[in-house]
Amino acid sequence: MVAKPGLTPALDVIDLWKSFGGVRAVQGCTFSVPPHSITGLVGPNGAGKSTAINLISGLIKPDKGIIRLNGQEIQGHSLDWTSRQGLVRTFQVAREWPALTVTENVIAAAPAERQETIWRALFARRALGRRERLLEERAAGLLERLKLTPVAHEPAGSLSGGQKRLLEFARVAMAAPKIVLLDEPLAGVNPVLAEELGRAITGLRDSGVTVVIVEHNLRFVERTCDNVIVMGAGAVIGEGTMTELRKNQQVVEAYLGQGAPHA
Amino acid sequence: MLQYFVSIGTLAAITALLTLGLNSRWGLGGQLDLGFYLFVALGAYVDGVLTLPAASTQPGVHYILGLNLPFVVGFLGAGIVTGLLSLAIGSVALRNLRGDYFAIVTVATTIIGYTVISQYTPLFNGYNGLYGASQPLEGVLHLGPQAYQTFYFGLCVVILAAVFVILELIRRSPFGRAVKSVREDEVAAAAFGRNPYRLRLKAYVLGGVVAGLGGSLFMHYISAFNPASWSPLETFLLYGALLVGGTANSFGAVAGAVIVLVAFPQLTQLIPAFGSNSNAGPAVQAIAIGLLIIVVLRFRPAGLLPELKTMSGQLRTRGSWNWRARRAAGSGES
Repeated sequence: MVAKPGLTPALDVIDLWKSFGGVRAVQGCTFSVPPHSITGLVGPNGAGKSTAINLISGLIKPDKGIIRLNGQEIQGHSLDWTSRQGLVRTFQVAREWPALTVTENVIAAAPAERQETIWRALFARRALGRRERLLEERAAGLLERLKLTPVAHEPAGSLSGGQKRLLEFARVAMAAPKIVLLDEPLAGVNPVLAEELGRAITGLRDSGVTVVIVEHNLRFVERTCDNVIVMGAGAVIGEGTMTELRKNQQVVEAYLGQGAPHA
Repeated sequence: MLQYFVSIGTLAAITALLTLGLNSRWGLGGQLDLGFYLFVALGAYVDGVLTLPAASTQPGVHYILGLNLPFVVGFLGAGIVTGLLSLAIGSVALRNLRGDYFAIVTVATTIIGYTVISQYTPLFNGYNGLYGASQPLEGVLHLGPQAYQTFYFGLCVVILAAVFVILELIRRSPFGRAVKSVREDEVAAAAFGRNPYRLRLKAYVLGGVVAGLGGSLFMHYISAFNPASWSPLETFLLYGALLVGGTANSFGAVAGAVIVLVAFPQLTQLIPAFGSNSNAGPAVQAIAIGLLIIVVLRFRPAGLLPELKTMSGQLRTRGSWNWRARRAAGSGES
């Protein structure tokens, strides 16, 4: 999707390449994500969606290509550095910190702003205490909204799969990112919970966050996403709304098939 | 009888300190460090060469420095040097190595350290080691031998308490929480902006400093230190103490040290001697400690005082062993 004139794209991916041994997972992938939108990244298995997310978030390094976050080049940096620039991601499998309580999981996702040092632990306890109380309040609010309050003080490892997904959302909201990459947020989630997650995602966008979702549930994508990018064989093969994509012959052949859902 | 309890009490305080140090690395940081005792030994040696008089006063004895400095300097010096060594080793080993690979590096480092210290006589007098360590503050206090032992016991307990409080403040702080998050899942920690390498390195150095301080107290307790004092078994015994007491729980670390490293060996001495083999006693002791660890792991897998209790009262196991299993069970992420 072409960004609206005068508006810097929240995310700009230009000619991105990545090979694993002989396999070209991503080859010449180029797309833009407009700010404050929800963009779906879809495509058949092996199309390179997850690799693209891994490259953008800094989990792995690209062989070639440019990635811009709000105009700033970020390619080649580490996952934690990229996160500190305001790009936060989730994973296909919920990656909670099992031995930390649910509340601790949420608080530990907040931007650290140099608070997490031994020095401050020993000599700035009052300031830390004030900050902790604020974070606890915010965490409690988020858990309340996601109906996780009853398990707030349980170890996160004891949650159900769906609850872990919700916890992931609470952590993302706590991290106050500029842009979020969600890698299959609905994997293993029941329809009721999926609706709740959908509301949480649109809520993120409405609060000014740019969202990119990798997702196979096309009904969900159509309902939730403002625009959709289709990947196939490591490159972008189409973009637009779902209605537009259904008319795109290449996309239909590669991914949607003739029985594409009409929401 | 009182002197007996004062003596094993001192030993208990020192070993509890060492277990707390290992807990920083393994319990908090999740680093399977099999070379922990190298830092204890180095702490003892560094304290020795700082507080002992110059080696030239004794024929056939060689060691560096010999500055005859007060105990406080030796004690702090031991912590600083072991902290710096931790920084040097950790900055290489913790950067890219995880789990077993990191553990192998710690074993290799220990073997190198052991070989250098025992073979290179000019450093710490080789196999004969250092002996004749001073009695801290005795020059000021002028106590009799028995009263001095009681004083030293008190000194060790005060230092243990101070280190305990500092480590607890750190463990409960945002820093402690961040280190735990790296232990639990470092990719997730990085995804939320934490630098896993720096956090791991800090926990590793923290453990190294405590090991050095413990080594210094140990030096003045037994007044001599040589390579026979630190076999690889010592590190495993500290792990035994942590497993029994409760990994990642400071109270558990102290309880484990007292039970496994002091009370248990003392009690097993009461088992009547049998056979004519003089090794039977220590062997029975080692077997008994092994059985204790197995029984505790079977019935209280997270130790007597676990890091975290669930509301249902069910005890959770945690540790690098599980972490690996969880990662293996996960999808093809990273």
